Amino acid sequence: MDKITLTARDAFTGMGLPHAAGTASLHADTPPSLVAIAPFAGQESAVSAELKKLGGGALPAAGHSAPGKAMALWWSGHGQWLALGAELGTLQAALAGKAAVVDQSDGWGGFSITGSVARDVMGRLCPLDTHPGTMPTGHVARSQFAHMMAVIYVLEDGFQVLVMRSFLKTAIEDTKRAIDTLAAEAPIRGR
Amino acid sequence: MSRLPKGGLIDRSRSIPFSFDGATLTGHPGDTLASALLANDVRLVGRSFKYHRPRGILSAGSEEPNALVELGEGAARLPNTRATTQELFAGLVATSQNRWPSLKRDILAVNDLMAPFFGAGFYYKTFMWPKRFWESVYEPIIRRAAGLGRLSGLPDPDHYDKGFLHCDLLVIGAGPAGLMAALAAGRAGARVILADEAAQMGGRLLAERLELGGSAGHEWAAGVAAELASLPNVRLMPRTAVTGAYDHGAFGALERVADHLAAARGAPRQIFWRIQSRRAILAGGAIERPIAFANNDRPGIMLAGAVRRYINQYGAAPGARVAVFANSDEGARSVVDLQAAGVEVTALIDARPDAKAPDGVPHFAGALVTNTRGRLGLKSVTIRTASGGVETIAADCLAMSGGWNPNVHLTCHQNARPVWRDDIAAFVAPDGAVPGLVAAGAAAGAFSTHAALQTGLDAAKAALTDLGLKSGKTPLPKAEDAPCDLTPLWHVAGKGRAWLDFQNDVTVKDVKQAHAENFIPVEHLKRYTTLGMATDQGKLSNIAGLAIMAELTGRSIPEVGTTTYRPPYVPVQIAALGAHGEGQGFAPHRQTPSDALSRERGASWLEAGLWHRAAWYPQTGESFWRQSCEREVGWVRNAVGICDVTTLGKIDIQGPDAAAFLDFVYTNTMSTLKPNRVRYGLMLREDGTVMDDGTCARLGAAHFVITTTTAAAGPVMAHLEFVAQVLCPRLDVQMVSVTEQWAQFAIAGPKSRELLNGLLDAQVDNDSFPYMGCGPVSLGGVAARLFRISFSGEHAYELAVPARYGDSLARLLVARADALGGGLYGMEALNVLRIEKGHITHAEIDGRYSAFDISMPRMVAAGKDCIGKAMAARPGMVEPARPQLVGLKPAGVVKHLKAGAIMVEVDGAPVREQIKGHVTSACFSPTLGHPIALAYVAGGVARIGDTIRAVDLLGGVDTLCEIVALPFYDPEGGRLRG
Repeated sequence: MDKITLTARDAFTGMGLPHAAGTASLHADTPPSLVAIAPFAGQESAVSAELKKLGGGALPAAGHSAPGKAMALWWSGHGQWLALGAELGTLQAALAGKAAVVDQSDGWGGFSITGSVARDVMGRLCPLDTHPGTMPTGHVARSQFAHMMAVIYVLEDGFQVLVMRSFLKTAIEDTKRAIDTLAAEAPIRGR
Repeated sequence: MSRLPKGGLIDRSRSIPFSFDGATLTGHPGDTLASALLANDVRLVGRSFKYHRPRGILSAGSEEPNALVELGEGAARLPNTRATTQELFAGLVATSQNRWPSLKRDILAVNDLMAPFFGAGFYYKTFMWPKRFWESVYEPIIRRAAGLGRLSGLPDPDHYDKGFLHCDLLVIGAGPAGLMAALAAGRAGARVILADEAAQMGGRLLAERLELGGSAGHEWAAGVAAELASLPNVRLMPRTAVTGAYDHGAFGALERVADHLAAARGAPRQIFWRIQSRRAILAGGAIERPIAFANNDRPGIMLAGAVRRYINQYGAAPGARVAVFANSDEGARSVVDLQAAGVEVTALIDARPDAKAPDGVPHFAGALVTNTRGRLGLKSVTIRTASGGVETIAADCLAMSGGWNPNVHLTCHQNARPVWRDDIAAFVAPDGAVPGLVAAGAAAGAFSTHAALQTGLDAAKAALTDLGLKSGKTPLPKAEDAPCDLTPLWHVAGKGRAWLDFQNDVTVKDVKQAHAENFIPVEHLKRYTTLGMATDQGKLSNIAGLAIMAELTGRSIPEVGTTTYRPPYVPVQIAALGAHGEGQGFAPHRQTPSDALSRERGASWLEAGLWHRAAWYPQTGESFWRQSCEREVGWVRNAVGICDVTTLGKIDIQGPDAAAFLDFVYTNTMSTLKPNRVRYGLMLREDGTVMDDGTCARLGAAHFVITTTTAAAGPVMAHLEFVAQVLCPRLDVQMVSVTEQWAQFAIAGPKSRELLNGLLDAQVDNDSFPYMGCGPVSLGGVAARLFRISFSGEHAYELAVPARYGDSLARLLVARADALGGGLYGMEALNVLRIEKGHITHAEIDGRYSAFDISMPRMVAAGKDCIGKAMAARPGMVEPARPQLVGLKPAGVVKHLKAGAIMVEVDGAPVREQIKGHVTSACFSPTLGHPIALAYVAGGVARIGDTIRAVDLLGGVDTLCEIVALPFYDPEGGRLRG
């Protein structure tokens, strides 16, 4: 056996990020760690209690997120949540027998679309109504993003989008094109 | 020049050049191509579809049937552009269409002389024999003779986009009703979208000399538009046609973003929007009706409302001496506007006997226009007076008005029919036909300006109540409220052809012909005569056509009924509907962890489940794919090959009932699987056919990871979620897709363990990792998973690491394999390896075959239930004559075997009744030195050793084969256990 080293590859290699045009910008924004939590039958309260002990919050309702000292929690689908920034081993130990705890840190890539036209950029790529009255800051949605399935989180000044790692190339190309298109439209629309 | 000395909403301070049929002309900002042509005294703009009749501009909107031009040149050329909606820009190039050699001298105008023979039904009766001539001779000639513009035939160089918008209230149309509705809703704080086809908000207020609240109508409109633009909750969408009303408040809309510019400069020319609204108001106005009389299609004969629009909005006179023909007060209104602009009016011909005469114009009450003269442009009209006398009136323009048809289209897009109103002799929108959508203003038959404002406001208030918003104070401006005084007039009886549908050259006589031949129902009438087809979709002609059918059949107009209104309201370019769907935009592109490495190695690619997978890796001196493929197969059989198998679906399944759940979804038993062991698994659909296959690894007592095929990863995940949530809600199980979390590589071949042991932090052997064993390992401190499974039939492993390390691991594995006399292999080699082993893919389990058919009847465990088990046990699913999967090898002179070939007995014929099965997969086996194939053969398992033919009718290959048992290679499986 030789001594070997595995090197992590940045999922955004060669994708030309960050990117900006007009008043929107795009940058890589993958959470430092991402763990799926799927509580077993009747265990949601117990899971919430354990998460609070670890510096998180209670499992948020559908469409919502819960910030926390040690981790953020996002609702991510039927009976499933994502913990951002938590340590996998700690979660597995605390939630053993209470929930399926599955590492997703490498499964999804994230990027953020920010700027005053971020909502318009989303309007070219995602069918959701992203108006702040419908999707306020901290809202989480599962939806379609340029023909890909996505997790969408509302930031103060834009949106954080997670797509499966293999789709990142297309997602970034499509998002860049939407940003560039809006920038080119701006003078026509008198903005 | 026919530009009026003053007036209009155009910018006279700037002149912009454009060209029509090669002649350079000038117009002003604010002009449409049509108004600029009229201002340049160009009145002949096109030729009709069938008879090649000279045609001019008829309308001033998207309903235009005549003034269609080719816009632009080269690849960007756009046929059938309506001059009436195309805004003028500097350098615009327009060309007339459907004429040769020129617009003034068109050879095919000879068709017009042949008109007596070319009536409705001509094609159907004439071109019947010989039958085969239709496609090869008749149709191409007819298509060449009759038609619209030409496509460039080149890829569209322009950019288009699509998008989504959401609102509380969508207001369609920005005339008085729409502006009033949007203002009330905007002030109340609703999220409003106001869309209008035109560049400028105002609708008919721009075209008429109306006063609202003491100011000019267009000034009031500009003021309201400015206030709306200042509201953050309102989005104004000029140049936007709402094209369709769909379910649940969804509307389609085409925004022409840059069609009015010489260069889009990176912006899309058009955007197709999906607008999701909670409530919608259709304030789309009304379309004026022509009147059918002999030769009513000459250049210079226009709709009266269009004449007023050209004068009042564009400052362009459609003629120097204008006659007016109407059946309502629209005639008098037109006379007043023409006189105010200083245009001579030669007569007002009013079909109503009791019509009052305006000042200063020869007036003919109770008179009708019976004919016209002037081939390339109107010269005079012939009228029959109330007393029966005939007079000829000189005129180079005739403004005609037969009343107005409310624009009900969108309210009927969900198959409702409009409702007839006798008082205005028109159809209006039915109530509640599209949930959440109401009509207001002229679209609802409210024709006066006051009524438009009032109904717009009322509709907005009702919508606000529905939305739970409070209406603020929005006073109505004072406006005219003239009643609709109209005597229906659809056509003037007499000799000569009277046009109903200008675009399709359908005349009153054609409707009579259809009636005579019993094509009476409106849908039959439409197909027989082509009334209402093509780009204008009968906006000007449909109602008149059915009114004439009503007369002929002695029924009322509503009894005759309308044809179906369908989206889109205006033509939409496929480029806009399919924006970004061209080329690589067709589907997302999924990259494997070894993507960069494979590109460096010059891989050829194929696509599976949106993944781009390396098919083979050519090396120097290899010019044909099979050379590369067979070298790669040899590496696996003799040394070690590396293949990226990340694309196979991986699903993490956990929970107290995980094992019971898997027993139910797989045909075989998974609950008896020991931890750190893997089992092959087969899933059936509920109808008993095979859905997918893969492996199931038990990582712990209540923890499994299963694999699926690449293409079925999504469907299997959806199936499992359905089973867990719907079929087995009491089972406590959770599942998470980990396909993307783990980069996974097959390491296959007799030297696979040697390679692995050079990398892993702890050595493996046959005891720690026997065949079908699995477990955690580590490489350079990175936690990984190792599975001893094999698709190739060799001693093989699959090694999984977190995806971020995939690229690094792939490079390490390939370097080590290279050193051991092996290397990367692609999908083609993988396919050959698995065919040699008789392993199935979706070429075999294509949704028609059972476990019995794939010769795995024992995979359906006896002691338990599973999805599909009952249905798979039906007698028809297990009868011995069913097609069964077997191997084939050539047994004659012809050695070629192709997938898709049909199986036929040696003395049979390759006809449907004698098909015994088909070849699912075929390849040349470098290991065996001859072609091999997998095939379904009826009762095949009992026919091992028989001969049969594989006939590829497409390729013309007929191969005598021997049926052989599977697998072809290493039937004892000794190589697997290594």
